[in-house]
Amino acid sequence: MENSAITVTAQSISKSFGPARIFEGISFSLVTGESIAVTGPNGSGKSTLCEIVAGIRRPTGGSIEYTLNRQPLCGDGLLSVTGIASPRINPYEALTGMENVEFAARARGIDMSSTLPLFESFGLHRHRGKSLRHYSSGMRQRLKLILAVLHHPALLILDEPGSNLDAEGRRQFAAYIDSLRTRTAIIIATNDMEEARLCCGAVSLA
Amino acid sequence: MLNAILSNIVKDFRIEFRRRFAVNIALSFAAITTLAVSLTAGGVRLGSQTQAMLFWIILFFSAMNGLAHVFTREEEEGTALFLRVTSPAAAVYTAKLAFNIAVIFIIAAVISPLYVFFLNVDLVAPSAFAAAVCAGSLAIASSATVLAAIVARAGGRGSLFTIISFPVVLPPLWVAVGATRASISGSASTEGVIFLLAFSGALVAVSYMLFGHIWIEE
Repeated sequence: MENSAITVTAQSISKSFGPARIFEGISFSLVTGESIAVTGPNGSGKSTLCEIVAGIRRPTGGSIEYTLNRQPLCGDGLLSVTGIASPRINPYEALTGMENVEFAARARGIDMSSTLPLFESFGLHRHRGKSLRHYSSGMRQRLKLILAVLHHPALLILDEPGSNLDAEGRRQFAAYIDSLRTRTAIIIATNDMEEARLCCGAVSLA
Repeated sequence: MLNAILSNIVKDFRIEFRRRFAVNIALSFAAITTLAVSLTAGGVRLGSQTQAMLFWIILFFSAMNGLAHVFTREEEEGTALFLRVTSPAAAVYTAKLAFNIAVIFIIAAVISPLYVFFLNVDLVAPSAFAAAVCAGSLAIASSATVLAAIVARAGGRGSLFTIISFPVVLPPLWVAVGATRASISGSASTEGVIFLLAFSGALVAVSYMLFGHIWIEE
């Protein structure tokens, strides 16, 4: 996926849960090499928008079109080129960090040996054999980021990526995002202005 | 796709092996109910219809908790979204179905000899009995897998699952009781087993096609 050019075009997306309208009229476009910060107060639908763009939740209205190397993309094809980390996406507590990565890597047909450097990049190398029950919240967040990027996604969606990370973790995360910037389209949902500054565009949810 | 299916099967068995929830609860329930039926029968030899009926009631209720758990666990522990972003829906369904078939076969393999021993069942046609148990178990597992997904997505729990699944499982259960009774009394025919296999095949095909709609969040 590393050299794939992706485009994402969202038109007038809206989302309601029953009678409660979360957001409406959200439009944006994104291509490889670009990044967008999604900002807004708590409950404005940042996480929901991320899940809709990742294709794991249906919008109530509007549409999103994806192309990869100019070919339309949908369904399982979208799944294979998208990486998402979110507070709502939890790895398995009964497994170790390594086993969670092994599960995701095998499911995506990735060689396990290529995932080992990621543990070092995110400072989780010494803890990869521990059960998630013994992980701190910061270590869980690092694991979520590893799981989001292990297949080198063309579209990377990060919801509150810096939450629970210490200063070193944030530095490692920022460095990793910088290394991806030219070959990945990135969406970061955040209220942290430092994280938002990693992006070149913005979508604001009122 | 095959990678995703195998990866999901390995993951489900690994978690089950560490927690032993589904199989342990089901086997405990099965052993206790078999012993309870045996004790309340008080050594009296029951008729073949009653023996077959009791066998399937024990197997059905023993299996229900374990079979539902495969999806409710994902929703309760918040891992369902992780699964959604990692594996195609068809791979998730296939892996969960394989896991549930394995669980019910393990339960059936433990219950059957216990039941035959404690209730003094004279098996005239053991191979027909084994075929009826396997085909009936397959029908229950294929019904239970898709229903467990629906119940888990609706935020339901085990008790709701048993209530919802009962009308769906009733026809194959009825046929399985008939096929088991025939194998005990020695008038075994293949019709019941063929019906159960056809029921399972049709249900798996429809579930496989519809699972994507159940699995994606609204």
